[in-house]
Amino acid sequence: MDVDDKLREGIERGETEVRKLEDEARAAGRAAEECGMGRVLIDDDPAKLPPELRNTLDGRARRWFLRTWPPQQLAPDAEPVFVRSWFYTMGVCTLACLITLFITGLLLALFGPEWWLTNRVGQFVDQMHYWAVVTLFLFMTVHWISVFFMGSFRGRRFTWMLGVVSLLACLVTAFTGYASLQDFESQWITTQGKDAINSTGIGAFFNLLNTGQMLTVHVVLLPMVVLVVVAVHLLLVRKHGIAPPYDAREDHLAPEREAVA
Amino acid sequence: MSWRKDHADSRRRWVGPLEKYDLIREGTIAVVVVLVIVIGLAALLGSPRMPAVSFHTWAKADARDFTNTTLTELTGTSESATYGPPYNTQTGQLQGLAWFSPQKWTQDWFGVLVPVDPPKDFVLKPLTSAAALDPELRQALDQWNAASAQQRAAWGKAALAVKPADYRIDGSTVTLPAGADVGPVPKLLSSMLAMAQSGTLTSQSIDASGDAYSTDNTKSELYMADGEYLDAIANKYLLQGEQWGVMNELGTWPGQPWLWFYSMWYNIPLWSSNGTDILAIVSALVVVLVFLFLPFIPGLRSLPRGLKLYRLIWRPYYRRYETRE
Repeated sequence: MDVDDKLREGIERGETEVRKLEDEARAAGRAAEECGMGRVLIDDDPAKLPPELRNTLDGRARRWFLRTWPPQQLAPDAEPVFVRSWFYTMGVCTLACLITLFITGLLLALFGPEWWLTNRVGQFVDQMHYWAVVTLFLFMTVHWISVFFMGSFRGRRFTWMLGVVSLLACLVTAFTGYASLQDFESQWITTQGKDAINSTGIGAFFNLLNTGQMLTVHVVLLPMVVLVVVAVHLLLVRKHGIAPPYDAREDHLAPEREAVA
Repeated sequence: MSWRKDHADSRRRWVGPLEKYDLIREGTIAVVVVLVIVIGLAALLGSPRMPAVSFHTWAKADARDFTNTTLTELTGTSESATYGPPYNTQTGQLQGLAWFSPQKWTQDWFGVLVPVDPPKDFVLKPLTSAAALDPELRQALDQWNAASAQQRAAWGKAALAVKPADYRIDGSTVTLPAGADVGPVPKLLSSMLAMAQSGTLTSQSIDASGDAYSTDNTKSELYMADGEYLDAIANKYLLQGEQWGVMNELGTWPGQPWLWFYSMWYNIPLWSSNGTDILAIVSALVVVLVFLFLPFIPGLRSLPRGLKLYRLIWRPYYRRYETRE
């Protein structure tokens, strides 16, 4: 057998192999078609799905999410007429401060302490970060005070509680920010604050004098906590809608009772 | 109108008139407005950043305080050396309210979690690394290390008996007035002062261990906090607890006024006279819990209804639509 024959034989064997694989793929496709996998899989009515697809965890999670937060409710075109007040913008303003803090904070974390302490651009970004924190707490305070006086926690008690948790998370985040500054202020705050933290017994695990730990907690751990808590707080606001005014007109409220809290 | 009725009504779906509302547009405008405010405030007012105190600045500005503090570290009589959990097994700063002492409990369960040994970590370690360049220091260190614990205690006691005001400090040479035998203590103090004043004593000399450089400044910061220099600066800039120091940053700049619910306890006589942090923390925790569970607390949750301030916010609604009242 010469080289050409060997080559021809090899090509033929390869072609046979490819045909075999194609046949297998076609058979698999037909099988998939038969059990419904060739059709559109996402259907919010499980009864319309093949039996084996009705109880997937993905599908159940998707249906729960869409039931709880229909897209129209997540991003509505209109809100009740009583929402027209500056006080209702305070939550969004607080969120805008958080976004500003994430942007300026990212820059500060990327370039490091020497940059924010000695470089003019770094110093300016640090000052923006500082004023964004002050503004955040200002807006947040007006937000929760107005929410309180509107009694907006009626029927939305868990939303209020998550709001308080997000405030606390922001307080601790701001504190660890001060602890990470590496200027006199942070030196003073950490050396003084350690006694209070130590008195609670957590001083060894949350060590204010451990600058590396404080910075990590400030730029990684706590922002994640704030992000999650604020996200759930917002989702709850979208789920339950905005609390109606005290003594709202009877025909402005649906007759049926809706469990929203 | 009862809370129960208000609560039930608020759970009814809104079917009244609506108005156009664009969340993304409102959010975008808010971000732009906040950016303008923040950039404006940063440009107009800035924020104070005073450099941290280093051993160099401390020893230059107040050599007497640095020397006295170093002596207390060497003799194991400083605040850090007698602190207690989590640094050592002493009880100097151990806090508790009667039987309630989580600071002690943590130590009982886990042991000393952040071990700090001031004589060794703050003084002898940096001196040992410098001794290779200074035979006199080597000799003084050998004398100190070879001495018995009683002998060291006797030298320390004699040195501590000298008031800081009586130290004779000439450049970086410390002399204690002739009296009882203080052994190699003056040479050890002089070498520490010389290192600090020349800038070779840094937080790394104290905190770094082995080959790794450290991002943990626990030991060097404890050392500095044991002196009075940080306190003096803090007093000047109104940063002490009894000056509502948490609320401001270097004088009149706003600091963390949002911590008022904690800071205030240090300024209420009954609490401040107690002299512990744990009482302030427990009190602040009670405030937080009331705040957190406010919608469940009868009386408090009905306060907005009674105060009627909501009428100002919803005035357009009440004016436009006939209400139940």
